[in-house]
Amino acid sequence: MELLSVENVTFRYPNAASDALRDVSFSVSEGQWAILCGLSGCGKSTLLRLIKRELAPYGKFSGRILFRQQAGSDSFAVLSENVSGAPALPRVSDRESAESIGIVMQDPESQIVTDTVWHELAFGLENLGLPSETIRRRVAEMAAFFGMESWYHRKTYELSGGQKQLLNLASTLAMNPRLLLLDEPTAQLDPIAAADFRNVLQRVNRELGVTILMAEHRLESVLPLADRIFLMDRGAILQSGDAAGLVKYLSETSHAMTAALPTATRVYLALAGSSVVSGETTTAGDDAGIPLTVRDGRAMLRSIPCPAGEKQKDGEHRIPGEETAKAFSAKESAAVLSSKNVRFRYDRNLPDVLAEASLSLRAGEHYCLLGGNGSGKTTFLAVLAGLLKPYAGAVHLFDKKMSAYAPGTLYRNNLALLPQQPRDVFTEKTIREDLEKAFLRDAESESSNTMNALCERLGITGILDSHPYDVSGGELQKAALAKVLASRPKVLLLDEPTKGIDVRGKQELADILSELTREGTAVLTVTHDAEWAAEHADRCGLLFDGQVISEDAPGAFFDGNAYYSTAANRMTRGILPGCVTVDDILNRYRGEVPQ
Amino acid sequence: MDTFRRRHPLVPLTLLLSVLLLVMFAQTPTLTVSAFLGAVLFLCVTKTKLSVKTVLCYLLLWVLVAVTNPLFSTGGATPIVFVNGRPYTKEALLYGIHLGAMLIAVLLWFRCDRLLVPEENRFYLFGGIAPKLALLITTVLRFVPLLRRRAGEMRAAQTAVGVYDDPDWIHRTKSSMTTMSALTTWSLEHAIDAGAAMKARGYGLPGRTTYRTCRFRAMDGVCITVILALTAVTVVALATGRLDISYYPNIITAPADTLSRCGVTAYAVLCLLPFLTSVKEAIRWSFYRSKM
Repeated sequence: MELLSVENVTFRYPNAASDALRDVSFSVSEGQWAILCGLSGCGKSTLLRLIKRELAPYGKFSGRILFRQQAGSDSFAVLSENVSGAPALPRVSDRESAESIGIVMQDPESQIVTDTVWHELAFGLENLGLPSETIRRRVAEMAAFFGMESWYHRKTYELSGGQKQLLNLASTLAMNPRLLLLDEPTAQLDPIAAADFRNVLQRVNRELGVTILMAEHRLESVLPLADRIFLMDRGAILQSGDAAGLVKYLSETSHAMTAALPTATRVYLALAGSSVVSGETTTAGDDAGIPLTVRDGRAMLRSIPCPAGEKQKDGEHRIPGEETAKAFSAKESAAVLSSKNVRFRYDRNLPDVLAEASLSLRAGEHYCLLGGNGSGKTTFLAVLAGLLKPYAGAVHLFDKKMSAYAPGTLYRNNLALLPQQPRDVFTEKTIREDLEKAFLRDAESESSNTMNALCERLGITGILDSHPYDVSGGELQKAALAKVLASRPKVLLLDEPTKGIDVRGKQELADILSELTREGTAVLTVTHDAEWAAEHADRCGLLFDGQVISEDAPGAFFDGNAYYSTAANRMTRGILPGCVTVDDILNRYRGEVPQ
Repeated sequence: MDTFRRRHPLVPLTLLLSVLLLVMFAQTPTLTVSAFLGAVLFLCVTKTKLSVKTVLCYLLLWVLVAVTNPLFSTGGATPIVFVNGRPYTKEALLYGIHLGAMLIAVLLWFRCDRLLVPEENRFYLFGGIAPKLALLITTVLRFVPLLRRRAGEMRAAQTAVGVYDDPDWIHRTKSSMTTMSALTTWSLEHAIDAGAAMKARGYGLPGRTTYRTCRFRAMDGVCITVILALTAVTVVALATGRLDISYYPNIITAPADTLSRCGVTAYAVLCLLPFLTSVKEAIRWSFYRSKM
């Protein structure tokens, strides 16, 4: 039975040149887990905000959004409408809308209202005017369901990002919503916190029967969970159906979102295009055969013949990326930024965050430093950037101690850091003003020419006159990169640059970085994104227990890790040794796969 | 201390107000000594560590008040020295010493209050009297640490793109101001987001209630009655002038009688309540442990 029905919704922001939503119609049934997927800026968030009436943006709206008044009842009520000639329906009351439709958005921080966990859980219930006894019961229930007892009395600002987002979910669910809207809820979380969050969502959907409508552009982990998927593109719904339907549609139209599909599915699609995956595994008519998870992918690979010549090679265990590793060891002398046995702690009474951390970055390489949550990656980056001073060990930039750089020289033509929140580098009203200021400081260059050329190259000329808060995450990331590059650094440090960015943005960023490294810039990226690192790094390292361990070329690095690895590697372990990316797998079938 | 922490926040509040108001209005050395000792003993028994800096600050304040009082007030009859032709009297010095002790007793009691009321109950009583104000306080308490962290992050980000890294201090000051203004923009943006999050969870619907986490139990009533009864005895002693003291020109105290002794004792008990309950708990726990 349908719970939510969106009928012919068209929406345009004030002063916008085109519609943000174009004639969108779809419905979600009770108990379903539906996903709205699409690249950033396709209108997912706008649609969710229109459904959550309290957050509806201003603009020209037409169509109507209906919501079933009570579970099991026949009658729909109107959330929003602007149509002529439709039969009159009762309007959903404000109380009903606040209570029955919950929303959790992307940024865990900005949704928390109060200073303590217990008060946050109670906040919505206070607004509904419930008596203290009822609030006490509901809050206790939620804390128990989410396993929050141990941090129930904590201050909200002490929580980790994952805990904050769980708190946002719990305090929304405490109000007993029937429909839960989620706007890329795991975009700002590290992979482990994101997996925890998804597990909780699964319980909410399966055990509590709450209907979920989720906007998401990373499909690797959520696709197997979804009952229904809507593909959005430039404000319109292109395709709706189950996972198999989406995969079929994407592959037929070779839509940009194909790259966001799970690894197993992408391998399947590439192989299905050739003769490798034969009839008994799957055919076009057999939808159930499309692999979505690592487990499905392994089953698929086992069922197809090994690539020619793979058997003979089994003994020598070829490792991809070996060549690059060798190429770089030859350049050993050219270390531009190095840290030796660096120790750092935030306070005398606190434990070491970095203990004997050593790393050397060479000219023209892209080094990806991975590591779990709270392993000190960001701290290490700040130490390498000279923002924090280690209490033992030393950091050298071009064989010169960090402290030996006179004021005004370190961050000019030498080193630059792109922080985790790209908006932090902006201080002016428009991106253009900010960039102009940054380029003007560099008196020697013909600033306006350089600036225009760089903006052209990064593809941000169109957003220069926008406020930094008004552009998408990917665009802001590129604009911040432009500002950071204004000082023409020879060493570029990046903190989690792929966080919350869609597949297209990630690819663009990788292209820009590879261009920079080709010109000789050394790039050090701190990231959680194993897939991205495997595809684009020259070397990878793992920061664990305050030290950099297992430094290697990405092929050897991920192949050596059993769990902290890419999906492609986990999928091929023991079947096709030494694969860490989708391309690695496909290369094994080279000759059998049309290039 | 747990005895008080477990109670309704109204109990420690009544105690604090009684202790502070009486010591400040009475201006009687006996009461000041009680208040001072009560606080010190309680801080000792709870093993509260005061930093050396804090203790020095307190001592300095005490000395400063004591020494400077005779400079302002020349009312005493026994001059010690003459400063610029003005008498520096013994009585004024003694009054200053008393005044300083009282000031420090008050400060120490505020410190005790932090231990007597759990932090989450600090603004609890506002919820009943002024729910809007209570909500405002909780959102501010949420926002301040966030703002502080953002300020640090922004500064670091600006430094790493070379904004502060300028030998010219005028330029650096200018940069600080731009960062401040960017922080303001962020604050406004955050306020909009937080407002949306509040609305999404039904803020603004009519009939908002306040979640009362603490229940007022019969024992709370008993505690408050005891505190008020002790206070009343002292108030009677004060009101009838049995605890009066005048410093100028000579120090004259009212003669001691039964009522004045009762008043002083009642106040001493009041001040020692946190200490006594802590000792009682400690004994009880060691007794339990010996049985385990």
